[in-house]
Amino acid sequence: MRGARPGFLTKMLFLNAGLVLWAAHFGFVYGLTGVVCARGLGTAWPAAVPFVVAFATVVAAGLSLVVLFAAVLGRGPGIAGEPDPALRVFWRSVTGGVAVFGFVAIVWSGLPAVLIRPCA
Amino acid sequence: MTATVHKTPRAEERTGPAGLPNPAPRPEGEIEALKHVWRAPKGLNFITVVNNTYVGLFYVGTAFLFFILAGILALIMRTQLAVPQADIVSQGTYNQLFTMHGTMMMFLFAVPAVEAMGVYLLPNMQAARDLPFPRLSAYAFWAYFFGGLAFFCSLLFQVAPDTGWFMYPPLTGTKYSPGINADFWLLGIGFIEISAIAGAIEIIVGVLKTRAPGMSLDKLPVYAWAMLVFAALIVFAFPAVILCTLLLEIERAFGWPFFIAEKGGSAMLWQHLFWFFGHPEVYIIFLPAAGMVSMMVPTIAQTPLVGYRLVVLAIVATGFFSFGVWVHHMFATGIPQLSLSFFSAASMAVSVPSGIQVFAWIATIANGRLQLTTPALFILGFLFIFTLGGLTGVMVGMVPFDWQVHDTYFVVAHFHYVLIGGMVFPLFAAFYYWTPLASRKPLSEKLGRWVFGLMFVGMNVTFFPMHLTGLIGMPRRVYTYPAGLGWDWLNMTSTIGAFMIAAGVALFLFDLVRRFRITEDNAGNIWNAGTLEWLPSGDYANRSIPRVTSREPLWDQPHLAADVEAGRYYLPNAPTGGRETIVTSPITAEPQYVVQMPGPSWATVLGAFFTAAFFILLTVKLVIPAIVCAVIAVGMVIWWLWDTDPGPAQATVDIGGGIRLPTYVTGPMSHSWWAMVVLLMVAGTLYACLLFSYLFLWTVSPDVWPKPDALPELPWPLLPAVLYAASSLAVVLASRSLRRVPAGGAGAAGVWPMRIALAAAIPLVVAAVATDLAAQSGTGLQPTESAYGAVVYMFVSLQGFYAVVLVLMGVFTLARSLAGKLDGVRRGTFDNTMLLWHFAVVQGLVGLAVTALFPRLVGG
Ligand code: HEM
Repeated sequence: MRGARPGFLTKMLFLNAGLVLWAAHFGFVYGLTGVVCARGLGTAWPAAVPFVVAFATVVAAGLSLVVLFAAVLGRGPGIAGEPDPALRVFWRSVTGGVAVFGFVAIVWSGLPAVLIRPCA
Repeated sequence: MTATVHKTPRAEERTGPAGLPNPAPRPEGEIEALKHVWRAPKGLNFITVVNNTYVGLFYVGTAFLFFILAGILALIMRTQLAVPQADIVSQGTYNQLFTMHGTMMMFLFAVPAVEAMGVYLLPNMQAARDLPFPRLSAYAFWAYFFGGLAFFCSLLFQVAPDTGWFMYPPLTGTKYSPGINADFWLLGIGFIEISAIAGAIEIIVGVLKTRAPGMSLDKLPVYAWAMLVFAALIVFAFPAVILCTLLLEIERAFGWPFFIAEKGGSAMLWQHLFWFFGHPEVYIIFLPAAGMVSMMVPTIAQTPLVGYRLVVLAIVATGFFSFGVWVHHMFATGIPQLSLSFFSAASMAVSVPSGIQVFAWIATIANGRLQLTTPALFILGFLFIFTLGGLTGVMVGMVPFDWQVHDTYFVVAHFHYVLIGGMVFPLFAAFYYWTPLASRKPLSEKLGRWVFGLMFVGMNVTFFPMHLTGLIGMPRRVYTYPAGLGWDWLNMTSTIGAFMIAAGVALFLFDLVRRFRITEDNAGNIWNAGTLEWLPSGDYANRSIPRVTSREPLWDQPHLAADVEAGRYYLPNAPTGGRETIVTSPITAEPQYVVQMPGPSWATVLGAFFTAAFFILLTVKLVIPAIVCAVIAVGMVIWWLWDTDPGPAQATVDIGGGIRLPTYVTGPMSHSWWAMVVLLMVAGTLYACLLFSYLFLWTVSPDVWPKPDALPELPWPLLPAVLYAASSLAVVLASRSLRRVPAGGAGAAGVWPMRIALAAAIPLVVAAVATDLAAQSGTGLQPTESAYGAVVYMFVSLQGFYAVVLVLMGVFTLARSLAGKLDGVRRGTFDNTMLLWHFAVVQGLVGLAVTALFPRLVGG
C-alpha cells in the first residue's frame, strides 16, 4: 500500500511461506494420488506417482529452505528495510520458524507417499 | 468513571507531562460530549445497542444459555443411562437428545462463545472504541439469538434432528429421514454459520485495522493473534459446511441427487465437505481458548509470557495443520494405506504446536510466582484434562486401536476430555478473570473454588469411567442397555459425575446472579494485569487512545492508565460529533484515518429477526410467509446500510500530537474494502468447494458425465461469457466516470455517464445468467436426473444468487447517487458493489469454462 514497497499481502505471504508451501504440496500430492487411484488410470500412472511425489517433495522442501535462509540472512519482504528493530526481529523469527515447520512437515508428510504403494 | 488501577498514581495527581499527544486538563464539556455520543439507548430501545461491550455481553450470555440448555439435555441422557433398561425417554427422543446436545454444544455454544468473547475483549485489548462494524456484530448476535432459540424449540415439538451431529447422508436424505427434523438442522445450522462468518469478518478487520497506535504485530496480544487465526479458519472452513448443508437441503427439497448413489451422487461428498470443516472446527474452538489462557497466565504469574514468538508461531502453525487432518477422510475409497499414514502424520504435526503452547505456559508459571486464584485453578484443571485428552487422542490416532474402540464410549470420553478440557475450563477461567472488567464486583473467590472443585472432580468422575465402558464394549448413541454386562456401575458413576458438574455450574450461576452487576464503574484491574483491556473505561471505551510501546503496556508504562484517563493521549473527544475510532495500518499500527461509525438502530435487530424467521418458516415449508420475511429482512438491511458510508465529516481532524487524520477514506486503505475482500475470500472458498464437488463427483461417477455432443453447442457458452465480460466492463466505465464527480457534485459531468453505465451493467449480468441457464436446459439436461445435472445447475443457481445480490446492490448504489450520497470522494458503496461485481463475473467465467470444457477434455 505504500508505493513500491512490499504491501501487506506480500509480507504476510512471506511470513507464512513455509506452511503455504506445505499446504500446496499436501494438496498437490493428495489430489494427484486421489485422482490417479480413484479413476484407475491404467498401471503406468500409479507407478509414476512416487517419483512425481518425490520430485514435488524435493521442490517444496527446497523452497522452504530458501525462505528459511532468507529469513536468517535478514532478507525478504517484511524483514529487509523494516526500520523498527523489534518488528524486524519478530518478522524474521516467525518467518524462519514457519519455514522450519513447513520443511519438517513437507518431508514428514512426503515420506509415506514415496514409501507406500499409492493405490494399495 | 472510577476504576481502581493498581500501582498507578491517580490522574489528578499528575501534571501535564511533556511529550504526550494532548494537554490536560481537557476542555470543559468534552467528556460529557464523548459520553453522550457513545451512550446506550434507554428503555425498550436498549436492545438496539451496538457498543461491543453490551453486544459482547449479550452474546456471551446467550452462548452460556445454550451451554446450560445443552447441558440439561446431557443430564436427561445421563439419567436415562444411569441404570439398565430405564425408560425415562424413548429411543426416538434419545436420538434427538444426543443430536441436539452435540449440535448445540458445537454450533450454539462453543463457536459463538469464543466469538462472543472476541467481540467483547478485542476492542478493549487494542484500545479501540469499538469494532469497525458495530451494526454487523449486533446483527450477527441477534441472528444467532433468534435462530438458535427457534432451533432449540424444535425439540419441544419432537421435530428436532435425530441423526447425530454430523448428519451423514444417505441417512439424512429424504428416503430415510422424510420428516422435517433434518431440515431443521440444515437450515438452522447453515444460517447460524452465516452469523459466525459475519463475526469472523468483523474480527479480522478489527484486529488488523483498529489497534492502539504503536501496537505493531510484534506487540499484538497473543489473544488477538489467536482470534485472527481463528477468524481465518472460519473464513476457510465454514464455507465447506455451508455448501454441504445447502446441497443436502436442495437434494431434500427439490430432488437434486448430490448424495444419491443410484444417480451418480456420493455420500462421501458430504463427508469430505463436512470434515473439511469438522476437523478445523476443533481448533476453531481450541485456539481462542488457548489465546485466553496466554493472556491470563502472565497475570497469574505476574511475569511476561515466555516465548511470545514461539507461541505466535504455534498458533499460525495450528491453523495450517488443522486442515491437514481432514485428509484422512479423503479418498478413503482409493488409497486407504496412504491416506491413513497421511492422517497420522498430520495428527502428530498438529500436536507439536499445541505442545509448544503448553510448555510456554508452564515456563511462564515457573518463571513467576503463581497466585492460586480461581482463574489459575481452572487453567491448571485445563492443563490436566487437556493433556489426558491428548493422550487418549494419540491412542485413537493409532489405527489398530481405533478399530477396537470405534463408535464406543471410549470415543465419547476422549472428545469430552478434549472439548471440556480445551474449551470449557479456559472459558470458566476467563469468566472469573474478566468479570471485574464488566461488573462492579468480581465473582466470589471462595465460591469459585467450590465451582472449580465440583466441575473438576465431576468431569473426571463422569468421563474417566467412560473409557472403561467403551473398552468393555458399550457402543455410543444407545438409549439403554441390558443389565449384567459389567456396564452398570460405570454408567451410574458417570451419571453421578454429570450431576456434580451440574452442581458446579449451578453454583456459578448463583454467584453470577448475586454479584454480577453491569454499571458505569467496574471493579477494575484487580489482578494487576498488564494489557490494555484493564485501562479505565466507560461506554466510550477509553477516555483517550494510548500509544503503546510494549506488550504489557500497563506494566511498562506506569503512568499510562492515569494519562489515558486524563485524556492526554489520542482522540480524547468526538471531533466529528459522532462515534469514531482510529484506523491504523495493519502491520505497524500507525494511524491512518478516523473512521465514523454508525450508532444504534432497529434495523439490525429487526433485520436479524426477519432473517431468522425466513429460515425457520422455510423449514416448516411456509413458503409465502418466508418470502415476505425475506423481503422485510432485505429492506431492513438496506435501511441499515443507508446511513453508513457517511462521506468526510470534515477534511481532517486533530487527534493530538500534531497528527491530523482524514475522516473518510476509500480504496485499499479503508476498513470497508478490507471487509469486502474478506467476504470475497469466503465466497471464493465456497466456490472452490463447489468446484471440488464437481471434480469429486466426476471421479466417483464418470459415467453420468455427458459425451461432448450432449453439451451445449460451442458458441452457446460464449454468449454468457461475453455478457459477463460486458457487465464488468460497464462497471469499470462507471467507476471511471465516478472518479470525475467532485465531492457533493450532484450535477457534475460524469454523474450521468456513471449512472447509465451502472444501470446497463445490471441487465447484462442478469442476461449472462439467463443465457447460461437457457444453454444448459436447451440440451434437455435436468437437475434431478443425475449428479452431473445437479452440480451443473448448482453452478448456474449460485450465479443466479449473485445476480440477484448484484441487482440489489446496483440499484442501491444508483439510489444513493440519485439521493446525492455518492460522488468521486464518497464512493465506498460503489467500491463494494464493484468488487463483488468483478468477483461474480470471474466466478461465472470459471464456471462456464469448467462446465463447457471439462467434459470435452475427459470425454473425448
Ligand atoms: C458438561 C457436561 C457434559 C455431559 C454430561 C455430556 C454428556 C454427553 C452424553 C451423555 C452424550 C451422548 C453419548 C451417546 O449416547 O453417544 C454426549 C454426546 C456429545 N457431546 Fe456431550 N456432554 C457434556 C458436555 C459437552 C460439551 C461441552 C461439548 C462440546 C463443546 C459436548 C459435545 C458432545 C458431542 C459433539 C456429542 C456427540 C453427539 C452425537 O453423537 O452426535 N458435550 N455428551
